[in-house]
Amino acid sequence: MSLLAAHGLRVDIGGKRIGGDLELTVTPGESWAVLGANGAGKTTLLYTLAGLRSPAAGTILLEGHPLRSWSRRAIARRLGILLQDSDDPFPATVLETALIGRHPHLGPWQWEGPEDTRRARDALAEVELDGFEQRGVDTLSGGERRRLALAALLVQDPKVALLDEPTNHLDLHHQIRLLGKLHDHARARGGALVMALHDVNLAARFCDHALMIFADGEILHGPADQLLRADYLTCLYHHPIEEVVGNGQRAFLPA
Amino acid sequence: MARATLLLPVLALLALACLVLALGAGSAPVSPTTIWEALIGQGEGTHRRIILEIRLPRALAAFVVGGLLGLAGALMQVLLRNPLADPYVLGVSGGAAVGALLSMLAGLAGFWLSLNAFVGAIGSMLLVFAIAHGRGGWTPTRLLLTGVVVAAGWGAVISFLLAVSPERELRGMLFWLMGDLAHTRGPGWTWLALVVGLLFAFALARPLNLLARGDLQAQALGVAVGPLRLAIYFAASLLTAAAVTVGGTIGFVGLVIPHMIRLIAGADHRLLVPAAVLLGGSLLTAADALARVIIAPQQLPVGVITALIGVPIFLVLLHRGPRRHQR
Repeated sequence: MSLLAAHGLRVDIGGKRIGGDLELTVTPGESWAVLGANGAGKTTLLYTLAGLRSPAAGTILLEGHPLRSWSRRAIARRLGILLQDSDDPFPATVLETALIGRHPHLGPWQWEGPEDTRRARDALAEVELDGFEQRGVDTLSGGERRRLALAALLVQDPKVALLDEPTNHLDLHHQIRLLGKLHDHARARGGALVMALHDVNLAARFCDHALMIFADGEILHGPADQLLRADYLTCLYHHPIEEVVGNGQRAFLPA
Repeated sequence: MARATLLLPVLALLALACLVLALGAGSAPVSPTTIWEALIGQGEGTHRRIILEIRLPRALAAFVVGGLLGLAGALMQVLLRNPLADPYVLGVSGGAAVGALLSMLAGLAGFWLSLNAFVGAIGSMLLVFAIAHGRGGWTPTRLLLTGVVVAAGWGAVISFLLAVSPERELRGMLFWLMGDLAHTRGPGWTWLALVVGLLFAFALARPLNLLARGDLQAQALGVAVGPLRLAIYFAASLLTAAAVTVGGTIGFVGLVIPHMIRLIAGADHRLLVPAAVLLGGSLLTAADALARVIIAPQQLPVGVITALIGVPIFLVLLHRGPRRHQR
């Protein structure tokens, strides 16, 4: 069964056409990397898959049913998205911010109980923000905020997680650790990840599928080991890229 | 958390204290015992009449207007995701003011003045909605800019009306514009508006918490953002219309009360919404009592006092910093 699928999908951004007839099926346990140059349309594609934006053509299926037929709340219980930026004009504590992930799981009149708080604390521990619960969000560094946003997504606990540049602001340790956790977590419980990444090497390490958006709006997708090749990447980024193998891992180096 | 659960009872006591203060203060001071006797139907004639027929209705009017403004301010700030937003920023009060000033020019007062102010407020609300909603994109920024521009237009009309009005009308007009409770009794429908508005906002408190973090974030977490934003816009505008119809454009309450609560107790709307009503009502009740006694027997427009009380309190709270810094 597919968790998330797109049929005949086309996305328009400011007159530019992306995809046209994109057929995509994401099944449980898969991790997808969405790759492309700046402005290629990675974020817009993720928004469209999340139902935050309507496609120019085509349909998106969540667990086999058209996205339109789900309520927003029902979508949010199954599909979550880590946005590229979060901004908070009003004060909030770290714990409150992690708890927003419980929203779709609570009834309209229900308050967060001890169980919800426990989940939030566990998620904060996962991203190494334990002990920060009562800190104001505006006292956090960029990387800490990123980890907090990831914690809120962990609290939301969707089957399908769309991640828009999850490694932004993260140091090397957290990049590897958190992507590894998300990957293992998704695999263990039959979930799926779709992440827009700028780092090809992270994509090669954590993703089994890749989707490349080229400058002309053409999309190429398939198993990562077939698509992540020096010639495709060179064309994708308009920059010469070489493949090297070391330590049993493939790596891509810009010339 | 303990602090949060304590806040509402403390604010309720504060509201009660402000009401007692308002009943006792005036050109004829009345002791708390006399107030109590009057309220339970004992005591002698004059004091009892002053309290029951003059001061009590006015104190209640001040409370309900303050509560309406505090609530409308909290909703506007979330709707526009802008800490500087207040109930008047989108032009509702400007429309009401034009209606009120035109009525004064025409020699109307009382019910007809209120009605025209209300019609002006509703007209402005619909105008801003129609323009901002015009071509789909109903973003906070677009709404804010539309509202600010329409409000500026009303400002010009107000200046024009002041310039062409005969001198004997000017004082009344200026008092209305500064916010004045001297001629008002909070009619029953304003209480109804306050209670309905409070229930509405409280029922949507958790979605409001998410909306404050941005439309996309709220939508991604399961909030139907479009309908919610529409509902908030109309609710906040109607609450503001009710408040200005009764009290004129009393400034400062709607801007600062929500921030005061956020600084004291955080930004969770399940607490912020009822707390803003209680604190807004208390502040305006106390301010109106002061407005009646400071230069008695003359009365000041209450808007002057709200700013004079509110500014220092707010600055102290801001300086002390929000609770989250205390670890």
